[in-house]
Amino acid sequence: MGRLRMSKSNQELEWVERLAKTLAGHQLHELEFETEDVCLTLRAKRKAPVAPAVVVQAADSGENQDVEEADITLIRSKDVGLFRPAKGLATGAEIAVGQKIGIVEAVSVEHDLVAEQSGTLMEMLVSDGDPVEYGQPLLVLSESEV
Amino acid sequence: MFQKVLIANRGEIALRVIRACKELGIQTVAIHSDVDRETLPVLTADERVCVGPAPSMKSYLNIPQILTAAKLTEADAIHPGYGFLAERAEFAEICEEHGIKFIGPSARAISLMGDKAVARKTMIENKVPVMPGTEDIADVEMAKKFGKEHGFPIMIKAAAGGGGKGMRVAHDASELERLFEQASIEAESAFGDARIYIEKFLAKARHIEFQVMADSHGNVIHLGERDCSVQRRNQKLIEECPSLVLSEKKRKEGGQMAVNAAKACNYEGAGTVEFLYDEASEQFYFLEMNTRIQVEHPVTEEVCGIDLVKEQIRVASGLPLSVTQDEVVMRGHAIECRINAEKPDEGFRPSVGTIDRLHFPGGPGVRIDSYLTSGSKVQPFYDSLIAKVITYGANREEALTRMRRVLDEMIVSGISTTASFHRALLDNTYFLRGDVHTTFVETEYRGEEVGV
Repeated sequence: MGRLRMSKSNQELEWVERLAKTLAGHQLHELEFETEDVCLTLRAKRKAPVAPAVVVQAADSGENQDVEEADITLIRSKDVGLFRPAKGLATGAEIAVGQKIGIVEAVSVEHDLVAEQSGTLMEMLVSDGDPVEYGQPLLVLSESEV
Repeated sequence: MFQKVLIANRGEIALRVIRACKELGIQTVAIHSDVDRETLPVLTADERVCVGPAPSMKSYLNIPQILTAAKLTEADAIHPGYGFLAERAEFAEICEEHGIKFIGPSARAISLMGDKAVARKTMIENKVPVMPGTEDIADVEMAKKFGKEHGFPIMIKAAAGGGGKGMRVAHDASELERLFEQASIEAESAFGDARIYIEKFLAKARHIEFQVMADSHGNVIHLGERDCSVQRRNQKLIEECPSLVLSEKKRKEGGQMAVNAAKACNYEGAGTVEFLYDEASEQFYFLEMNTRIQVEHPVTEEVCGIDLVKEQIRVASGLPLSVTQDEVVMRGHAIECRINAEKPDEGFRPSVGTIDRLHFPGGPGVRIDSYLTSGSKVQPFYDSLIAKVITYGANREEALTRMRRVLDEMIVSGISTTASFHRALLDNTYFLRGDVHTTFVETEYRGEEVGV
C-alpha cells in the first residue's frame, strides 16, 4: 500500500485542486503529472466526476508503484476572520455532516464553521487564532475507505 | 502619514491607488473576490485578502468582510476608489467607528450630496446656480404647471438617482403625464425612494465638471475643468482637459462655484462638481457633486501636473494641501478614451474572455491606466472598463493625433473592445471642431456608426 502524502502549503493544495478540476472539466479518466520531485496521478471516479480521487506520491519513493486512492475534501472558510477550531478537534476525528467544527471570528460577529461532508479529519491546515480568508482551505477530510 | 492602506476596489483604480501608495512609501492591502485572485492589483499589493465570491454583493460590497480584512491586516486607512463603496455614507461611518480612516469626505457630506434634492437646495442656499426646477413634487399637476411656466422640454428626475439613472425627458404636457407615473414607479423600484422633482431640460448642453480638492484645515482649491460632453446614454466616452469652450473668465467663475459647493458641505478630499453648460448663454447649471475620485481624473493630472490620488491620501492623513490655488497652472491638453470590453457593433453588449495578446503603446505623452496583462480574464461580474488611454500634447491637435496613433498601435485580442468605436469618433468632423453636446453620439453621430 502506498502512502498518502500531501503538502501542507495552501498553494500546492490549490494547485492539486486545479488539476483535479481540469481532469473533471475535460472529462478525462486519468491525468498524470510528473516533475523532478513529484509524481501525481489523478483518476476520475465515474460516479463522482467533479471530485476526482487524488493520489499523490513522492517520485523517488520508487518502491511503491501501486497507489492508494483517497477522496480528499477540503473544508474552506466562507468568511474573513480568526479561525477558532471546536474544542478537542484533532486529526483522526470522525466528522459528521452538520457538525460544528469551529468558528471564524470577524469584527463583532462569529461565523459558525459547519461540515458539509463527513469524513476523517486528516489534517488541520491552520492553527487556533490564525487569520483566514474567504475560500482558504482549513481542514482536510478523507472519506473513510470501506 | 498612514502606515498601511487597504484598497476596497478592483481593476484599474485599485492598481492606481496601489501605485500612489508605493510612491508614498505606504504598505498596501488588496481585497479581492475569488475570481480576481490573479489580477494585477492583487499581485502588486503587499498583502491580499480574499473577501468573497465573484458577485459584488458578496465581495466588493461586503462591508463586514472588508472591515474584518482591514482589522486583521492592521490597515489604518481604506481607499474606496470609485463605484462600489465609494459613496456609501454608512461605510464611511462604520470605518470611522472602528478607528479606520476612510479616504474621502465625511459620511455627512456623502449623504448630503447623495440626495439630489438636498444637494440642490444646499446649492441654492450657497448661490451656486441650478437648473430652474422644483423641489420634490407630489403630483403631475405641479409638474404641468412648471412646464407651462418655464416651457418644455422638461426633465423628470428621481431624488435618489444619479449617474443618468431615473431620468426622463418630457416634450409636452401629454408626454409628461405618461412619463411622470413611470418615473415615479421606476424610482421606487430602483432606489427604494419614489420622490421625483422636475428640472428644465437643455437639449444641447455640454457636460463640464470641476475637480476640487479640500484638506482638513479648511483649504479648498479647484484644478480646472474637464469636458465630458461625449457620452453615450449618459455614460462618458471621452473626456478632455481643458474644455474648448470656456474662457479664462468662465473657468474662474465655474471653479469658484465648485469651491463654494465643496465648502457648503465641509468637504474633505477629492471631489467633482458637475455642471451642465449652455454655450449660447454661457451659463453653468449645477448637476451633482461626486464625492469620490473619478474615472477621468488622469486628464486633470496631466494638465495640472498634480497626482490627485497622492494628494487625496495626503489630505486624508491630515496634511494640508501641497499646492495653493495660485500654484495650480494648467498646461497643454489631455484626452482620455475609456476602453470597455464591449461589442460596439452589437449594441455595446459586454464581452468577456481571456486576453491572449496585449500591447499597450508607449512613447511621449502616453499614459494607459489598466489592470490587464496577457492572459488576464475579463469577468462578466464587474464594470466593463478595461483601460483608460490618456494622451497629452502641447495642444488639442497634438493630443488628438497622439490618441489616433496610440489606438492604431494598441492590441487587445481575445475579447471585443470599444477601441474601434473611439478611433472612428476621433475622425468625426463635429468632434474635431469641438461641436458636441451630451446627446451628440445618439443624435448627430448616429448613422455614421452602427449600434449606437
